[in-house]
Amino acid sequence: MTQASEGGPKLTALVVEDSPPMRKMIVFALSRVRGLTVVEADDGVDALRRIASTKFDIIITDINMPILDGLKLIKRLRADEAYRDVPIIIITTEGAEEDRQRALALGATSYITKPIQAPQVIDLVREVLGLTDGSR
Amino acid sequence: MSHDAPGPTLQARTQAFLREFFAKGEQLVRELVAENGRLRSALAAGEGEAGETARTVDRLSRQVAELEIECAELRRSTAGGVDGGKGFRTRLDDLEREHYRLAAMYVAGSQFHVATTVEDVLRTLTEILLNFVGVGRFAVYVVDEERQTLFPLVREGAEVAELDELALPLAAPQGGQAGLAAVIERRARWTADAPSGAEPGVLLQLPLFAGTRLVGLVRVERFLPQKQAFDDGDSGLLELVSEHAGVGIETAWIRAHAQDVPLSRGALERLVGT
Repeated sequence: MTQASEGGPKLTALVVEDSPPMRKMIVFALSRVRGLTVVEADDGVDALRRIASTKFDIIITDINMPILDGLKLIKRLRADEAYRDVPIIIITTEGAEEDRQRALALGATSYITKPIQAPQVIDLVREVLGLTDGSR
Repeated sequence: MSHDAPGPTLQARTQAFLREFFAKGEQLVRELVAENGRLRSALAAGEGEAGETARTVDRLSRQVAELEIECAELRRSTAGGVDGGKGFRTRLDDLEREHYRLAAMYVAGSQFHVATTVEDVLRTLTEILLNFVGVGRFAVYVVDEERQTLFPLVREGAEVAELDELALPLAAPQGGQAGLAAVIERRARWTADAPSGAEPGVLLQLPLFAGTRLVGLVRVERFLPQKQAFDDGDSGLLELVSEHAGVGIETAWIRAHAQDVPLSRGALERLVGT
């Protein structure tokens, strides 16, 4: 678990990504958002396990993952009363338009396209969470 | 017959009329003189008010001009503030990108370091090129030292079976392999100032060295659709891949063929000469 810094809003994010380098980079980018605590999950199943014990304020998830992919995860989350309105950002590739549309139709809030860039990740998360400039 | 009393004579009436006429004329002249004086006074007074008004207008005009100057300065400083703000934001974004690039290099390096199998190394290499650099199509060739060839082992974005082996050594490269020869002849990892090895259909060729031992080669064929060219931030990652992927493959190869010998004090002390 990564605690970005003291002060600011106390929010918790879950990053679901099976690729360790990619996951670490997203976590690193999110560590720049002041007051945001970041939790990592290896895949959809791991994410559900963590969701059972923690209420997250935002979820950033890859689509293509083993066992339980991002689309199934979104479906499970939106069926859960506690996660009906929690922002979900998906991580996609430029060519995966179909997956992106399916994810958005299932209730994803927005998306990030690989290769990701830290400023874009930070800005999108801040925008979705309604954080002010001071939080960066 | 009666007789009325005799009236004023004509001469008397004429004189009375003339006295009255001149008296009224005199009165009229006095009134005109008085009116003239009043009007002169009024005019003089009016001129005074006009002068004061003019001075007030001048004063107010100067104040307006001063305020306009002040306003213009405020506008300039506000614009400067906005520009300054944009500058700071741009600088912040640059720093975030630089920070992120360094973090990407750290993560990439650590992932190569923890890779224990060739598969791990190739997965890390693929993720770095695909997700960090933005390469959409590339092939990884590995050296077959017995056959002196570079053979295509994995390919991202297209079928690996489409590719042929590349013969080594490349002392007399044929046409399209001049770029590859230039890359390999350096006997060192790729750096930003090294030849790109670009050839038809190949944007960049990254040699994978373990020391001076050529282990493999990455042929970058195409960027992802959203990327048009390498940027400054890519060279560090590409250098890192060129240096660490080769070492990672060699280490994984040695590990795969090493005997499983338990760590022992005696053997370790001999290794460090104590």
